[in-house]
Amino acid sequence: MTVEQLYRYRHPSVLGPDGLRLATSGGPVEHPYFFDGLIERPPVVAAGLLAVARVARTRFFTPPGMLAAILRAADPIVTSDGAMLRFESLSADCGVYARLDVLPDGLGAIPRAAGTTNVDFNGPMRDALAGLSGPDPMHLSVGDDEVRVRTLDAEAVERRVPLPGRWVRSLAELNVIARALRPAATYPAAHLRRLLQTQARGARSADVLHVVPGPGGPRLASRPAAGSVAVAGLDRLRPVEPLLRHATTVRAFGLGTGSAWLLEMPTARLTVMLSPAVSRGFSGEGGLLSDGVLDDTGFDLADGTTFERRLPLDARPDADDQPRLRAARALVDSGAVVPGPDHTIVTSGGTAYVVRRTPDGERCTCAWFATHGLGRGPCKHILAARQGPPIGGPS
Amino acid sequence: MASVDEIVAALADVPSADRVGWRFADEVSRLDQPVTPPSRPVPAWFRVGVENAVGWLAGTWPQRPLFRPIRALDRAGIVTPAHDDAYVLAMVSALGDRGDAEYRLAVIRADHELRDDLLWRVFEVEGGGEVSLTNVDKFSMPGCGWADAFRTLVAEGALPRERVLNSCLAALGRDFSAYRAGFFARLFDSLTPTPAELATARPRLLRLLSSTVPATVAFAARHLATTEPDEEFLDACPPALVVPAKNTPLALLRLVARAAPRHPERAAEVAAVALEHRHRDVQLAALQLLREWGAGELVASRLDLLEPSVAQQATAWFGLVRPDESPAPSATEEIKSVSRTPGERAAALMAGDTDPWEIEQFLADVAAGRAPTELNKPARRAFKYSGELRHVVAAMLLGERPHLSRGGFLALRLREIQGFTGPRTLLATPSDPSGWLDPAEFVARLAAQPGPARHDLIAALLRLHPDGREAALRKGDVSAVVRYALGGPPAEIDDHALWVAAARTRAPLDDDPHLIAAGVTGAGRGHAARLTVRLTSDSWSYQTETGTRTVVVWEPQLEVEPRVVRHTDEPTVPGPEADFVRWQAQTWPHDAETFLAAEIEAAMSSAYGENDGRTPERLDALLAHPGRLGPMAATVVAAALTAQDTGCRIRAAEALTTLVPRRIPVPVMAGAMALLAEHATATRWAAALRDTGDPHTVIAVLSGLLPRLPYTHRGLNALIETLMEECVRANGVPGKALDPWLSGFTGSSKAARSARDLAKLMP
Repeated sequence: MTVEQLYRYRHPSVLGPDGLRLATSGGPVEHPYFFDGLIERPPVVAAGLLAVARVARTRFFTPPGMLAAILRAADPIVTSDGAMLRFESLSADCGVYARLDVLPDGLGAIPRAAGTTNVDFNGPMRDALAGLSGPDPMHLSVGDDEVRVRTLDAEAVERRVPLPGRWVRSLAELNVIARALRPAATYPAAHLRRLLQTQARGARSADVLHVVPGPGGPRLASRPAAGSVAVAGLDRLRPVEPLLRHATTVRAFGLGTGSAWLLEMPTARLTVMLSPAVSRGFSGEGGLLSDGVLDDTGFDLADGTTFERRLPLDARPDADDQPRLRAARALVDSGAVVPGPDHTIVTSGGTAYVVRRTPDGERCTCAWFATHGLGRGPCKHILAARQGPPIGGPS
Repeated sequence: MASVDEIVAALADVPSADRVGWRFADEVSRLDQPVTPPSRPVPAWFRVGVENAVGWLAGTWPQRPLFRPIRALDRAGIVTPAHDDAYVLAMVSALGDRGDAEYRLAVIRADHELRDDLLWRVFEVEGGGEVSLTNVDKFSMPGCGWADAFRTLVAEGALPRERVLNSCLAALGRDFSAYRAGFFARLFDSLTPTPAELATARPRLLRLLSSTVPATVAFAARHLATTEPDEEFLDACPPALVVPAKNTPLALLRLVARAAPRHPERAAEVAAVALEHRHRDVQLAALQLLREWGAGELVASRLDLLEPSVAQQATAWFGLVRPDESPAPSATEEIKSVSRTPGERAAALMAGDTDPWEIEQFLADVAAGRAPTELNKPARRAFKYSGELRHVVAAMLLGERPHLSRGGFLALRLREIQGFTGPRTLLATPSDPSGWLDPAEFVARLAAQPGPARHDLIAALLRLHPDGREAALRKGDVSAVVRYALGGPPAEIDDHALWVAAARTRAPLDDDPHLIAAGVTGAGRGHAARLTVRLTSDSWSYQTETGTRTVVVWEPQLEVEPRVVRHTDEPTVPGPEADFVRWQAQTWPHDAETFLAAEIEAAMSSAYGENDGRTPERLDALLAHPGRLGPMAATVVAAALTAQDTGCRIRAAEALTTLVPRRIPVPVMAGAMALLAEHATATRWAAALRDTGDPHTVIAVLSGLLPRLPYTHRGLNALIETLMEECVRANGVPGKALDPWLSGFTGSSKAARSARDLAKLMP
């Protein structure tokens, strides 16, 4: 399913003489007003916002047969929890996630309100951010106060963007994935920059390689080692490159062939998560199949805490609207699930797949299980077998 | 040519589903100009169609001036598309003609609104794919591109020079890709800005030092070199000191040095940033400046970022202590998969698994009548993947004949299995994942299944493990050829292929006098194969805009002694490249050389963009092979070390450090690299060997390779530098054989200087 999201901003976001004014749309009110104050280290925040915006606009994987036209990108979202601001985005292929956390000590004032809203990141604003330099604090407003609303003479901005259901599910899956990530190694930022610079620019690789700590800095290997993190398509980390000069350390986290990279900077943090394969978005990772709850809270790897956010969407997919769950229910309802003495037969698409239970979990003879095992959640046959009569016959 | 009315009428006859963007662009291109107003307002579908044409042109470069008539309709108020990004890109795409500059120039000269307003949007809209200023210019005829138009119009005074220069710099400051940003740098340069213009541009140029596009940073640095560096320059400089290439940071450090007398502390802080650069030359340049300025305290915190030789210099100059490097962690053990049912195994193989153990177990399932019968539909889908292993698996499940491009012994085995009339236990199923067959297990299977299938028996004989043969021989009553394979006495040779298999398992690497005496001669038959490879070259030249370019391609020529007599059922004779690398490598566990000899040419092709993508499989097969590895294996590794793909080079480097010297002697590895030296890209070799985490092996191999290379060898300096850094890293010394070679360098080339530095490490 696709959510047709209407972004309606009072004015385009702009970086001008009086600072950075971000226009907001949707969330707790039509145009939330979250923050108005100085930010420390504007170049850090500017580079972070640009990285978030770049991820939102990028398609790191184009499926074969897809037309050249790039999907209209979803606007980044910002969450205020009353202490810090978090700017998030997801790439068009749903395989790269980026979040800039502007920490309390980076904000010259306490946020005025809490909630999550969309923010306009237009071309001219990004261009202006790219040219920002200098150590002096800068004024930032996220939304507008009543006085400004009355005096605004800028033209409103309105655009519709179709958001695939997988985009929404990806954000929800990220929460589950982030909680399962295990810390691997911490590197000086210069080491990660060197690693990225050794990769040919412009080359898009789907290879899964392992970033392994070593003498002289991390190196790439074809097999895992202690402290290593697997990365699919290392070039997908390039959006963090401009921030590495501001970062002190980079913490790496891993789960299977998925990874997360947390850049620690003065007054801000940038988290980038990469899906387990270049061709895979986060939506199909199956974590929600186990949890069963479309929970759109976020998870902060820096301190292992969740943060509240309710996605500012015009329509929300059903928590049960998981393609595999739907398919499993349909199999059960059609009588395709037949328990045997030590296995269950699930007939689907004219083939009788065998689901059996082992000490390491269920197994199935379908192509999905053969490719992914349980690493992306159970296949629809295993789900159907769980929902249907138990192995050994009806209870 | 046609009027608006005629074009509308012509399009009205077209079914609405066919009134697409390109159709409108094509029809509207017939428009008479100047435009005659239509007799009535154009219909809504026509307006939409013209807008679609704009959208189509924004993504497609027609190489013709198809935007001109659309612009004419716009100016005449007949159809007025929004002047959005698509409109701008349509203008970029199709205002001009690929081969005639006048089309574009004429429109810009005559259209004031376009010239004064819309034209400047081309500096703001990046474009992509076919449509961008860079791409249109790249593929236009000389003199007919957008840059030519801008230069012409600036020279005429039709466009303000200052605005063009400023717009170029503004465009470079946008978030454009490197490819598309390049247009603006080149246009700016081609206008040859004066010193005064550069001085005016200085604030923008300083901001460009933090561009994410390395070429833009280099552009800015080049122009800033003509201005006097000040504190603003020092503040803007740091991001540019760590761009990947070394020339820009080196140039900037020279400017930093010029600013130092007026701003010593800031200059030192900035220079210290350059210590983080990955290139040794940049690190050294920064270190020398810091030494000059007595700023050693800025070095200590970056000591672990320095190349070993630079760190050594830093510790000597500043009295620092370098912490010991912890060794690289070793690879973790792979988790063994759980045992699978026949159905799960077949599904996994049809999903792309190529594990040889699994395919052999699958064949055993098929032969024994255990193959799953419920996976026919997935097998039908997998059968379409001709050329892949899943196709073979599907064929076996469906009873279809598998298509193998090279056939060979593999095809014979598969056909034989498909021909079984009842369930049987395969003899050749390995007893362990490396492909060996336990002799006792083999004899037991023979006893349980009299009348073995011929190719199954050949395959089994070739897999017999060297251990346990005597005991197996005592166990059962076996045929003469089996007895011979297990070490028993010779007997009359009835079936050549069976006796060849027996001889090649009895003494894999030796000549077999019994077979030779019986006339079963030839490499891999009665005689052990002796394999050598040499390279021959083919070259051709072609003309480019800048001159003549010569391309040299090297090809391996395999020489097999004594003569080769090929029979399909004798897989110990070197044959064609494998269909399925990992599986076929296990055909003869005693010796990998025969198999790998056929893979060298394909491995060499990994250096180019067009290759079969199977080099990782070759390396996996090589690493997993339990048998003899020698020059052929080393050549495959050397070829993969220069692969275009980073992942391949990494795997090759890992293979090298795993196998050398334990299974491939250092001289053999060095010899293989020397053989491929003209084919390989030395800098790729150098980079691959830098990050292995095993400096001692790298030192040994490079010490053996370098003396075999001419002093003029391209990329030699990279190899010498790698050897030096690994020596310093490991507190090692280069091999003695290098001494005479190093002292033969003359002159002041980079390689000569590096050689002299390396020579200082000799004991």
